[in-house]
Order: sequence, then structure tokens, then C-alpha cells
Amino acid sequence: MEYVIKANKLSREFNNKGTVKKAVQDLTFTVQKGTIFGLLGPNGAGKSTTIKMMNTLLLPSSGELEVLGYNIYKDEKKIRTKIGFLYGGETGLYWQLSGRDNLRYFGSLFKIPTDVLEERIDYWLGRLGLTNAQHQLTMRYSKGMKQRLHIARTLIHEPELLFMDEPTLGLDPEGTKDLREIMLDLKARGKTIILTTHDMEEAEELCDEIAFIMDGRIITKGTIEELQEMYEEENRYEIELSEYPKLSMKKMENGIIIETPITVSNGNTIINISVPKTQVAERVFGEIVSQLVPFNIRQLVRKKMELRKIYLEIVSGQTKGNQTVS
Amino acid sequence: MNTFQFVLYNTKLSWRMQRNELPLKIFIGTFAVRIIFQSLFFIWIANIIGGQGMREFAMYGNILIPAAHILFIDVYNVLRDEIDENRIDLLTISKTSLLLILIGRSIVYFIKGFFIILFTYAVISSLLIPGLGHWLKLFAAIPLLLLFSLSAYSFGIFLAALNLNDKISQMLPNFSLVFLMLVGNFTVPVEKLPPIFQTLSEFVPLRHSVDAFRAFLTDNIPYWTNPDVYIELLILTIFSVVGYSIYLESVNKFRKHPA
Repeated sequence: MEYVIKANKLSREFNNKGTVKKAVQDLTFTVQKGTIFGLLGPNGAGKSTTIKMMNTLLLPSSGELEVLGYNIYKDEKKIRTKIGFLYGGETGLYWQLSGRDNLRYFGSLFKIPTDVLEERIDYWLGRLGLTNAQHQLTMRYSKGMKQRLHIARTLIHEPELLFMDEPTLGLDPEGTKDLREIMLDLKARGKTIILTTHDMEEAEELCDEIAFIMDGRIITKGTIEELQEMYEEENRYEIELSEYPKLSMKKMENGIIIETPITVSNGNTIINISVPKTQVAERVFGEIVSQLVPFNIRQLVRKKMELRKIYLEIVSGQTKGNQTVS
Repeated sequence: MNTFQFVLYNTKLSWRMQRNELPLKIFIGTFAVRIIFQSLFFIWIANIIGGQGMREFAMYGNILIPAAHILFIDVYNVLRDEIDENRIDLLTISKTSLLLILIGRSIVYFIKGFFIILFTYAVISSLLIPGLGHWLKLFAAIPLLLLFSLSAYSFGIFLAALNLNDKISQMLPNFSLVFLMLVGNFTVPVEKLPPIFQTLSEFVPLRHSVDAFRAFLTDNIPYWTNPDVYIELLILTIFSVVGYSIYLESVNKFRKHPA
């Protein structure tokens, strides 16, 4: 298995007027090549500091960090030519230049041959829907257009590893959809993406692996399925029936919760059932399902816990934990 | 793309950047109007303070104000993006390449600043100072103007390198201009200012530019035989080197060492 990031006990402190603040503490993680790795957490959790250490903008206070096989203390220049950093916002583009000239400028910093650069510019302007606006000054671009140009700027030198800090911020739904497709396309081409976002739906859709950071520490990490397995206290099922069940089903038996059946627009009925992860409860659930068979079960789906709920659980759990400690 | 092509290419983009910041004809028109009103205002103040001698004093220094404005406020606006702490791309190129880009940009700014100075001086000398008529001397002053350009440019770089928050950063060049007008030896001779301002004025490149410019324009002896001009040129060179060094260092300063 090839890793593009190997972090071992990574820490970073900031000294502010004599007070030392630990922004990141003992982070140990790896990121596999060709994956999308989500770095999630509330504001001030340490995500940006972690990203800035990985992209060589900040030196760690202690710990080891390898990026694309290079040591960040010794080989920062080699790393910088192979990474891209999308940070959006109002800076990072030259407002006095057209969109095309901006890309020419950034491409030239990476010493891309002129003919190759012009081809890439054409490709990315087209892919991001900026072809018609390519000769307009960037100061006249809308917020979404600037963000698209930021994306093109980040990708113009075809980096192997991309850091994307809230990339869909300011994009309209169409732009968001396009960018998500681009990210999946990049992943399919073997690129690795480190993504930070507050949009849990986006993280759920894109990320192969996720690490939750709070107060500078990784609280938990894993694939979506692993996190769901870890945080789901019960299995949730959605059963769709052709007929309304005329049965009296006991609620709250062995911790099972059966919600009131709902008739949906196609005339079918949907029942949501939560089942604790115990053998007894699973057996009782089996009995409930067999009682429902005469009402024509159209579909039985196990509903996974949404990442948003996992996030909220982690955040509230951590807050509770902190309160207990203090 | 070799280093030469790279620098040439970036200089071309700098020219576009500068042209788009404010188109040349609007730029010249705005400053021509401004310099005339500014001159009348300064002459009025100079007359109140010290009569005819002061009038010429104000006139010569005043010529440099619009050029100073171009050089360090516009430079500041452009370079603010290049001091951005997230610019990994700038860290991929060598310091030599970065310096060459800066020099390319300086030349772009110099060309623009030079024409503005020439234009305003020609207008003033022909309309307001009858008999002065030696504005062609300006062509011989290109090295002086280039140094003035570089030192003012380095001041813009210095402001950008401070990297304060956006609002303060935007106000700073304007406040600086007011301060420079006070201690720049434009309107009031620096000797007439309180001692603290006299000391501060020594650290202002514009004051040395004005002194050199004034010595060059008013003295009857050729400027290349005037040792005072050489001292001012040397000071301007030091300011330029320091300003450029600050910029080159500030590009990399965000890679902070462990706390």
C-alpha cells in the first residue's frame, strides 16, 4: 500500500505573548495514494494548522512528517512543486488580470512550457465553464467564478497531491456538482486529495477515509462504514409495504422503536424501525418482519447513520467530555 | 521556459496588471488635474510661510508626489497578493527568479512613473514658472528617477510585507502618504519641522529623492559634479536594497520555525 502522507506524533505550538497554545497535538495518521481523505472538525480544531504543516507552509514543533515520500524538514522544495493548495477567499488571484492571464502567471511559476500551458488553460477554462469570461478582468468575476478560477489555478500544474480547504464555498449547486465530479475524476486518475469541509453530505459522498479533529487531536478516523459501525448504537430499518398493516405492534419491546406507519404518495406505507445491536432485539425484529409479510413487503432497507449525525455526536460527546474534565 | 523567457513573460503580465489597475490616459489625466490643484495649494501655503523662495521650494518637491503615489500605493496593492501566506507557488521558484520578476515589475512602474513626472514637470514649468524652460534636463535624470522609482517601490514592498489585517493594510498607504508629504521636504523645509520629524525624515526615501531632484533641477552646476546628489543616490540605493531584501525574506517568513 502506497502512502502519500505519513504523520507520526505531529504537534504544533504557537507562542502568543508568552502563552503557548497547542494547536495540534500528537497527530498520527496516514493517507493512502489515490484516495480522498477528509479532515473534519469544528472551527479552530486544528485542521488548517495540520494542512499547513503538510503543505510545507508551517514547520511542526515536533513529530515526523513525510509527504509524497519526502521529509518536510529537508525536501520542502520538492514537495511544493508536486502539491496544490486550494484555499479560496479574496486573495490569491490578481484582480487586475484576466482569468486567462492569471492562469498564465501561475502556470509560469511552475515553469510549464508555453504550448502545454495554453492547452491546459483551454481545458480547465472549458471544464469549469469560464471560457466565455476568460478575457474579463478577474475583478469583474462573481464570487462563484473566482472560486472556479481558484480551482483552475490549483490544478494548472497537475499536482499529485491536492489540499482543498472548503472548495465548494461560494459555488452554486451546479458548480458544486461540477467540482465534486472533478474531484472524483482526479481520484480516478490516481491523484490524492486532502479535503476539509463543513458540508457533511459532501464529505460522505467524496471521502474514502475521514479523520475528525477536535482541540488539536484526532478523535476518531476510519472509512465511512467503519465510523458508522463505531457510532451506530442501533440498526435502523425502513420497510415499505403495499398495504397498511392492520396489526397492533408493540413499541419499545427490547429497546426496539417502531415509528407510526406513514402512507406515501404512491399509496404504499413506510415503517421506520430502530433495533438495538443485541441478539435478542435482532430476533424480535425478525419476528416483526415475519408479521409484516402478509402486507406485501416491497422493500426492506437498512438505513446507515448519516455522517452529519456522527459529527454531531462526536462534537457533543467531546463537549460533554470536556465539561466532565473541567 | 528558461529564466529569461520567464522574467520577460512576467514583466509583460506586470505591464497588463499595471495598465488594468488604472488605464494610462485616465491615469495621466487624473494626475495632471491633481498636480495643478495640488501645486496651487502648496504655492498658497508656501507664500504664507515664506514668500517667493518657498514657492519654488514647494514647486520642485511637489512634482514627485503623484509619482510617489503611483509607486508605493499601486505597488503595495499588487504585491499584497504576493505576500499572501498561502502562496506555495512563489516558494517553488528561486529567490533569483523572484528578484528578477521584481526588477521587471520595477521597470514597468518606472516607465509609467517617469512619464508622469515628465508630463507634470513640463506642464508646471511651462505654465507656472516662466523662464524655467529646462525640462529637457529630465532626460538626463533617468538614473535618479530610476533610483527614486526603486526606493519608492521598496517602500510599497515594505508596507505589503507588514501583512497586517486587510482593513489596516488598505488604510496604511494613504496614511503613509500624508506622513511623507509632511516630512518629505515637499512643502515645508524639513529644517523648520520639530526635531522628531527631522529625524524621521531621514528614514523616508522620498525625502532623499526630493532633495536629489531639487539639487539637480535648481543648481546651476551639472548634477554629476554635485557630491550632495551622490550622497542622496547612495542613500536611495540602500533603501532599495533593504526594501527588496525585506520582500524576498517575507515571502518565506511564513514557514515559521517551531515555537
